[in-house]
Amino acid sequence: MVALVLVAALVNYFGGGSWGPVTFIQDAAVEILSPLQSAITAIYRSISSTWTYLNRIRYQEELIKHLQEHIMELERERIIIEAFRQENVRLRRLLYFNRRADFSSIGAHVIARSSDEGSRWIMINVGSLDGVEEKMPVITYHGILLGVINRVSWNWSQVLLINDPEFAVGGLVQRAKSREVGVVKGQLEDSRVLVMEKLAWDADVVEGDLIVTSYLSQYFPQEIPIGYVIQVEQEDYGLAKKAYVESPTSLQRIEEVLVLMTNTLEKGDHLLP
Amino acid sequence: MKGYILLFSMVLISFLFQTTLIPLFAVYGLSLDLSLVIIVNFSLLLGPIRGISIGFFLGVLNDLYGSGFFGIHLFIKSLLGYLVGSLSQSIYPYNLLIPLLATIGASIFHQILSALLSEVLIFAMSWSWFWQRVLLQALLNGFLTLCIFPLCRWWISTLVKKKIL
Repeated sequence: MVALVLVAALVNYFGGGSWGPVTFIQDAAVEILSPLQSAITAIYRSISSTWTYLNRIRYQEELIKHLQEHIMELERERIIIEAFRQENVRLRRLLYFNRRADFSSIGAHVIARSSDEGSRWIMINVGSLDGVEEKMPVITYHGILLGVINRVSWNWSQVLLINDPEFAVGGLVQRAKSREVGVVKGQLEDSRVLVMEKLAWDADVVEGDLIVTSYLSQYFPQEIPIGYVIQVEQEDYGLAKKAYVESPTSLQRIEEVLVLMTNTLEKGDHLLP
Repeated sequence: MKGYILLFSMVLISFLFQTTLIPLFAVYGLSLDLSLVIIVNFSLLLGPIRGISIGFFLGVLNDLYGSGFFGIHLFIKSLLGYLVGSLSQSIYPYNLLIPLLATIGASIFHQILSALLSEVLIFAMSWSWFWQRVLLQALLNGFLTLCIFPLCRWWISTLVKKKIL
């Protein structure tokens, strides 16, 4: 046991804070095992999708009818929204407001995930060969913030999830009358709920508020949805407020993600036009 | 030698399942810890020396994949393998109650020690965390042990009978 402690301490000491020589062994191990993990995940995905397909096939006709009606309704709304969008662009130009972030994204499949309470991550099948870099934000296909790229190798990357206790991002209450700012963090107690701290004691935050990434974030574009407030409570003897935030997506069960290639991101960039 | 290759292949497969499929079936955000259950079961069946080896192997894999201080899993899992393996020498391990209690105890020990050794998690420890997460996780792992201990026992005894292990 003493030998084990010494080995671990030496590896960390010589490895340095950013892993140093250990990185090579780490990357090699993951490169070897990731095809096996991809295979297991792919088999599960194909079985799961076949099962889902068979279950849903009988609803298809009804769904098509419903969708046709919906498309007509959406087309009408699209025309209205397009008018608003053009008006928005004109007004932004007039105000020299924040520019729209001009960066691309890359889709990826989840190949492995942590089941350890202390560290919550997923591994995705894109890496430095695809242009992925550390600190790039990762979102779901619905645009919900999922995490940030933590480690990158050639063909895979590790995403630190927003519910990891070490994760923190600047959050903002999206409601126009509030716009309160705080820090959203993962917590050890419950992996499904995030906590928004550093809110002022009189902050205007209520249950149901949508929390998005704030303009204070260094690595994240503005206005990426994080989750909805489910509970607000006072902390520090009433000197500050704390809000509990629930992500609308199941973080550990996500199968596909988008990596935002934000290497050209500037402060003030945001996702929305 | 063939026995060890088979044994460590099984351990490796359990790790692959642990990092791919098992988190998909999480209950209240908690997923089963197959790695820990494998360490406890095999250590009970094979003793402290093989227990420490299996713990070391799974600990290294966990540390290679993890994002924290290298060696935390290596240390805790090796220690668990040794402690549970030593337990098997002083009691009769084939009563299902023994692996069940050993898994629950090991699971609580593992989570508390992981949190104590982490510079971030140590500040997040609380009674609510203990009751809502640690204990529930331990019970889930205990349930998994009840399911797989008979399989592990059968597999190990088959290897021993065939003089492979």
